Amino acid sequence: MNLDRKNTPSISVNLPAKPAASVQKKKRMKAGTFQYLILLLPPLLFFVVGMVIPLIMGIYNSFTDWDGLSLEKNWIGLTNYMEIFKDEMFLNSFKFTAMFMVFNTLIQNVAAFLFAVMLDSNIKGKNFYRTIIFAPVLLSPILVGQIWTKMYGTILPSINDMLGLSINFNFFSSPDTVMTGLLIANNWQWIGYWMLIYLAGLQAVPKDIYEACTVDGGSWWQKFIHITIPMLGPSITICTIGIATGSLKVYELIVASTGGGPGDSSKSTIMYIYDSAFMSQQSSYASAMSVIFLLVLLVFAFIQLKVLRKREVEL
Amino acid sequence: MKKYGKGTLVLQVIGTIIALVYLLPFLVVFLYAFKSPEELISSSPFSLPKKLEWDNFSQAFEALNFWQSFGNTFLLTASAVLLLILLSGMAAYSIVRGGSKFFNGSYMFFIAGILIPYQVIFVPMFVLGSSLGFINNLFGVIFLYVGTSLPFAIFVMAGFVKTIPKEIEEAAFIDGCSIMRTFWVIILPMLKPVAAALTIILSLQIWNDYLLPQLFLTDNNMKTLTVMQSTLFSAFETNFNVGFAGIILSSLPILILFLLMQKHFVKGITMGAGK
Amino acid sequence: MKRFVSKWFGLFMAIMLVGSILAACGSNSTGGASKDGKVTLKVLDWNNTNTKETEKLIQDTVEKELPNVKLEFEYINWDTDFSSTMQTRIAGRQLPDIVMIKGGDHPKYTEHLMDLSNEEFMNEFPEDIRKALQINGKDYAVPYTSNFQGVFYNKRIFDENNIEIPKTWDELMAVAEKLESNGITPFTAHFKDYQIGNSFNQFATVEVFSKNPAWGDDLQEGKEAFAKSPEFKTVFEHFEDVYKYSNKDPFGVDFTGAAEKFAKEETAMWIIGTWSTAQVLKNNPDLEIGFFPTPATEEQNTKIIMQPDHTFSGSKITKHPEEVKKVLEIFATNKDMAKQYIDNVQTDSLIPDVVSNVDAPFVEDINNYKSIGAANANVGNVQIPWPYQEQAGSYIAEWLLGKKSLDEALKATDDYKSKVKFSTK
Repeated sequence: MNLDRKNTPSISVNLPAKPAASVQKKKRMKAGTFQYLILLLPPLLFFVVGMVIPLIMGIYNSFTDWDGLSLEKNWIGLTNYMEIFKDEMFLNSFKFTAMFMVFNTLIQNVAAFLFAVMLDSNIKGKNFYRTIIFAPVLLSPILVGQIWTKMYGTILPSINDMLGLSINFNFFSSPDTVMTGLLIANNWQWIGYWMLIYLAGLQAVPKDIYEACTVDGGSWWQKFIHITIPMLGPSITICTIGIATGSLKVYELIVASTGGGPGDSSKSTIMYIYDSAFMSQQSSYASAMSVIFLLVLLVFAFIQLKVLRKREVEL
Repeated sequence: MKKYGKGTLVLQVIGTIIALVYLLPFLVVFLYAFKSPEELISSSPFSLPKKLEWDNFSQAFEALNFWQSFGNTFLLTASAVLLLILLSGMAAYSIVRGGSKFFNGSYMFFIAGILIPYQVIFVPMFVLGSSLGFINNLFGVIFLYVGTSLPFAIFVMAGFVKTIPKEIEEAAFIDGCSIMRTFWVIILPMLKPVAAALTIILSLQIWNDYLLPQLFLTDNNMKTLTVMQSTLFSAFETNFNVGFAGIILSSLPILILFLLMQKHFVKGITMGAGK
Repeated sequence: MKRFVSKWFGLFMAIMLVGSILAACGSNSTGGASKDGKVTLKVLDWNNTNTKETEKLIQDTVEKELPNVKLEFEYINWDTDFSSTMQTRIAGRQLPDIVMIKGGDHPKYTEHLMDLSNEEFMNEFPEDIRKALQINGKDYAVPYTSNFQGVFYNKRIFDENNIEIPKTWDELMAVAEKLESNGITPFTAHFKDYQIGNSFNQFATVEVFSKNPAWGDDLQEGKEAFAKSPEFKTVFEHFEDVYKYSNKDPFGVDFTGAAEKFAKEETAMWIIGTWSTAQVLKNNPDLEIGFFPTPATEEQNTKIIMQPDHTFSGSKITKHPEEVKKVLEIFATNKDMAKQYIDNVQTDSLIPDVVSNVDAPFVEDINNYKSIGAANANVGNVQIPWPYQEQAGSYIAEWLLGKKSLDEALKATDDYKSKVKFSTK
């Protein structure tokens, strides 16, 4: 129906002479609002159905005892939430996920930055290096998990055999090293991605600032601290937030490599939620965990936003 | 201007070492994929295959149900991304130019969604999706991808739309274009660079996603490549040669795409992040 | 031109929207009759051994007997994906017409399965086999194959070291000690994947359920607890023993790796089930594999463990109940197909008078022990559902790896009770 409407204004607008233009503009705003609304409506529909309603449903479900299969659903109030704080497995999975996030954020930021610096120098064959380091980004985390399981399980130990060493490479087989193993796999995959962002940031720094600093007798280190880091501010923020949120939802990599083991030592929060909902048939409990996890994410995002704002003021 | 000095040489060496470490897993995948199961047991993982075992690939091809799952993944990714670009463009334009408080509010409403990864609400998403008939329904999964990725896309789009000078549209209005027409004819084509950036990022995300297709697309001829990949290494009867050949096969499309469009990838990622 | 494009864009959008809404409303098709009158039935199957051959076998047989029925197979992994797939299908009202269900999983799904109690073909089966799968006296599945679980061993190693078959757990440990002192790794262990979960039920079957067949129900009602049960403590302790005498780094080894070790004769014994032999023989076709029952602490409880494995059920919401029943009837009555099926899958048939032709020492051993009487693994499997067993396995792993004490592991297993849905009420 709005397809017809489309043509009507064009007739009326053609008529007025110049003095009337401002009046016409006001009218347009009103008629315009309607058209803008039409443009906004479809995206809003997708968003509400795809995200907002599930969110509300999830919150509702978390107050029930629904198992995900049966037709019965009873309101049980806060019982699920009380359970969560007593649930050691949830706390452990959360601890694991948080640690995974912290280490990832540190390692990936630093390594990506250093790699970018390397590629910003005038070494030869930059394209080659960039392509190689970026390539793992293209793989699905499922494949990365499978590849590294094989690496730790057979490939690296066979280096031991060849060289007569006895380094323990099987990181996935002990609760003490499984985190290291996953971090290596995850960082191998993602450093290349963030490296590109740092690289773009570095290349955007105007070269004459450096030159001015050199003229003033600034050392390499001074240039780094006083020019490079501040100029990279936005990149650092983006990478930090990106890496952190990416690490918090880690699931595929773990499913395909350790399966959460040995024991429960590498069970991520998302994985525990999935297992509760679809293996142990605790759909409502899983929903409650989702809500808690979401709240944590929001608090976390809020803090990041605050820090970000503060830095913007400083700059 | 800069010279290739000693420091650069050191960097070159370090870079080469890093590249080698990065290449090692890829090398292993290739060596495995081309060996026969017998050779795999008898030889060192680093020895070159005596004879290229193409049979692994035909087996993996079959195990992956390649054309079918490739087609599904492609259809899913392409439609979702296309819709996302279109819808986020519409939303961003109306939000930026709409002017009233309502539009500002809806912007905040959308943006709040960025903070919520769909992985956190997949349980109710599944419940709702199943009651809407989204199970084994490509449309349903596309719908969910669009719904959950929209906030990010709108965020990026809105940042870009803000930089478009108003004069262009005003000229169009004076020429008698309606807002709708202006959007379709003038604004949409101008979104090309940001659309390209978004296409790259969103495609990469959706192409490699696992959880949603794993939950919703359980029918044999609806499975995506990522889901099929996970079945390659099943607990019983694993054949690693075939598995690794499958890794190569299933990553090939996106690798080729990357090599063809490397520049755009780099641009896309940095731009998507920069806004 | 541009206007043209924009119009098409709008139209495309509209179609997409309408399409997705339409798709949202009317999509609950579960296969259907095509124009040529043929009915396509979907089969959900998790068999992983020689699937291609068995699929062709079943399709050909069914097509011959029922020319108007076509079967379409879909495969999944039982240990990782079966529960979630079933749950998503049931929620989406898209349960395939015929589902292969593992004996022991039925109680969870009875609401959604066809009641076969009054079907003529169910009378084919002896009362005890039927009973083993019945729920509240009703049949929901056609029994098809069963697996056997216990200890598989390397005959050559046993002969060369003059080892007698152990009948109790202590004797088994003595065997392990002897092997180890002769420089041979006694046990194959693949704790990376499901082995702990599997052995958990094996040990529980001979140590716990042999004494109290309703232990799991008592647990559910709060009359029993892992931490209070000396028998379950024994079950846990068995793992410590196996761990002590097993190959290096069991938590880094998966099923495939284990089969390779056993095939290469690096290890002498493997506590597992008949499904593993195909993979072992693939690695080393000449290996002489023997079998003995899982030894219990007391000799009288040492029994071969049998589990109804592949069973076939019909979906309650199928659009073609008649055809589904006819196909199930073929499963129940066609002995020729049953015979070829077990030869392909290398397992045992539950169809009367169908015996495997596979000629291997372990088959002979199994047949011998079977005639003495077998313990049913599903007594435990039904009462303590698989996710629970798996989780107990995780706690055992943490204990073996020094992250928990034995008492903590037992207590944690008790605490998990509220986090899992029991399939029996």
